[in-house]
Amino acid sequence: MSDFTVEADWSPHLAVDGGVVDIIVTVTSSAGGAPAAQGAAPSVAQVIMVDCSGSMAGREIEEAKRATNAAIDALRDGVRFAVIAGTERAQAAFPVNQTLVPANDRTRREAKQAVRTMRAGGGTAIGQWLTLARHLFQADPAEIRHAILLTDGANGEARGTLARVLEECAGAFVCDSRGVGSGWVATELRAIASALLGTADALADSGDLATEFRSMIEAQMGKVVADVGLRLWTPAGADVRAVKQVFPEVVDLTTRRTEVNARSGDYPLGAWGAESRDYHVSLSVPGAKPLETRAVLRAGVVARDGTPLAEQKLVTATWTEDIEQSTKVNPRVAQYLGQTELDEAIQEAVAARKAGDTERATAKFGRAAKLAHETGRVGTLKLIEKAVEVVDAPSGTVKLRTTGGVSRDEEMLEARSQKTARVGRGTKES
Amino acid sequence: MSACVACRAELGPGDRFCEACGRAVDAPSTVESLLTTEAPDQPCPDCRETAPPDGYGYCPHCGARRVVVAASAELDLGTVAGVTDVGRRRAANEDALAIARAPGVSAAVVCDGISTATRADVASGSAVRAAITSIMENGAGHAPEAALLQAATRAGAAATARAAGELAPNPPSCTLVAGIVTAGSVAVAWLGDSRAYWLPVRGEPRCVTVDDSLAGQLGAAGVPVSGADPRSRALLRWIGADAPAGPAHTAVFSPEGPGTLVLCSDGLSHYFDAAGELAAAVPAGDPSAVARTLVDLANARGGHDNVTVAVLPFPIPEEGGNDE
Repeated sequence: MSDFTVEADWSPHLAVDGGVVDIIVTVTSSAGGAPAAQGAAPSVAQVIMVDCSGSMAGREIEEAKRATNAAIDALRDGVRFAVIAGTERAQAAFPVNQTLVPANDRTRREAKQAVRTMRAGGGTAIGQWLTLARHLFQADPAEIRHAILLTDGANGEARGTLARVLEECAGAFVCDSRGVGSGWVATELRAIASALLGTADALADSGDLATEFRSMIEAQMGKVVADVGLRLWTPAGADVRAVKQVFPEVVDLTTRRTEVNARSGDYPLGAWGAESRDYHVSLSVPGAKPLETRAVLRAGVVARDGTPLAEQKLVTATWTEDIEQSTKVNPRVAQYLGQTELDEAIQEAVAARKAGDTERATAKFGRAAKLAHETGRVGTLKLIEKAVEVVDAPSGTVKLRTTGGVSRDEEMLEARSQKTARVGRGTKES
Repeated sequence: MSACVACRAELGPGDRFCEACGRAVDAPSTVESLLTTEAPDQPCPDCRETAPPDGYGYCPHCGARRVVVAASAELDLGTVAGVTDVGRRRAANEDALAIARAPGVSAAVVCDGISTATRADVASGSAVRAAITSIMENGAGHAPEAALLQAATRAGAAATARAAGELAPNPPSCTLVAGIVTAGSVAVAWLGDSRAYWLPVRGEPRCVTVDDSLAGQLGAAGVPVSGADPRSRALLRWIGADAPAGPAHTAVFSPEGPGTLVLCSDGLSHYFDAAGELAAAVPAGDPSAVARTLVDLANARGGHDNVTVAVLPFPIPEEGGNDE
């Protein structure tokens, strides 16, 4: 039903007293792009959460409704779906009886009828919306469970509520979050995407929402394998320091490990169609004698029940006293480390701005500009230039534009900095 | 759980043939005696783990390199013998050796792990075992050439199967030279640059094999090769997961008189390129003494590489009396 491959790039030499081995693991699935034609297409459930709070009134709610209709139209026949109207509570807009219904011409028509009656008014309780979505998914047997969440504002719930809800929802469904208008908060959108293995983004113009919704649904219609796991074996004595998706977006999976046995653990990778993603695995390994070669990692992908989906990839390291060898960094690893550091620098810069720490914010924005320049992230550099005045990118010299609150441009930058540029596997060490 | 006698791959409950090497599970064993330097059951040198190593020869507990072939060994069945040694410069032995005898048959297999491959010793160890088992179970005495061709195929399958389920940039791979001596013939098969020499008591000694390299092919065509350009020594054929397809090369002849078939890895032929030089270095004595002497000579001249030598006298010496 699907063909996965696992590849890896790393620097194979280590100092004799041990250290860190950074590995880029590339997982590729060549699963067919048209699962409907394959007969054994997996069952899909889809929930759309639309912010109907008071601030959406006017053009925003109309564009959100148009986008929801576009999403409904993009659903394949048989996909079980629901629409949630979100305010300070979660209301099942369609169907009203809090369940999922299979898409067909009639239900799509009825759903769009219900969308037409949605009105803006009330608050924003994202935790409530997600909790209703979780209940809908948990009552449904679908293999691939995906949600879209659209908001224009900051979450109005008590501190800690969203984090608790996200913990409850992790694994129950995958969720892409989108911000529109002027009140959304990048850290919230990213927290949702990160916990629920989806994407986060913000749209400057609500007129782009319909296209965005349609493409998110279409991407889901191409998914053929649900709940894929990255299985890592590490030898006794080695520690897994971090596991992060680094392409197409930065998603930290480090704390999401499920132990398989004393030496192996699984990390959730969500649902897969025909696609390729890169992961950064960072290991700390003990010392060994010079010229000793040992296995330090085996990476594989598994289905929900633990069945291997690909041949495992073996990663070995050789210890050496040659400092030139042991300090050499694989160029692909270096590129991705630079991009994840760029994302972290932007998050820290915006956090410093919110805390009123101008000096730290300037330093972090400067570091971000330098890294964006070095890693060729042209789009990110443009966003940085909108948020701050970049005097000289190569040296990381910037000036803050305002000393007041965090600007929309800064929020936009933070919402988008986790999107990475692909580093191909062509750059092998000689 | 049962395992294939030839390649040690795990057998399913209803399997009639080994999925890894193709050997019939109920194939009769006509082997009088069989020895190999493959040593897959050693516990981990670091953590003492006894579970078998993975397909690339690493410990499933601590990741240490596990011993899969002997660093140094002497195999002796009287009528055929061999010696393998790590040499003076290498950290590990990636050569492997297997010998066997049956009524009217002597056989030996030498595999040399390719040094640029990942864990080449895994390939050479599994290959010699698969090849020697195949040879001895195939009625080698009746159709030695066919037996050798099948042995090479099975050795390739075994070397490939060991690392199946894993991907590395350079999968385990090795060369192979195998020889069978029967009552009336000498047969040799090879892939790569491990060699077979025929050293007759009377007559001209010669190298039976042609190295699978540009230098080897030019040399065989009568073009003098300086050997200065290392690229000309690059292998064109080998066995392992990334090996080019195709049958092994073979040579079969009926000696006019007594002599000795010597199989060796390039740890020996590096020092004795010409058959005449090798013949001059071979002492009188039983096969094990000859093999030991040649390995010692290679080490005395520098031991730059692993060295393995198998010695098969023709005609096959009478049981118990081999100093006629």
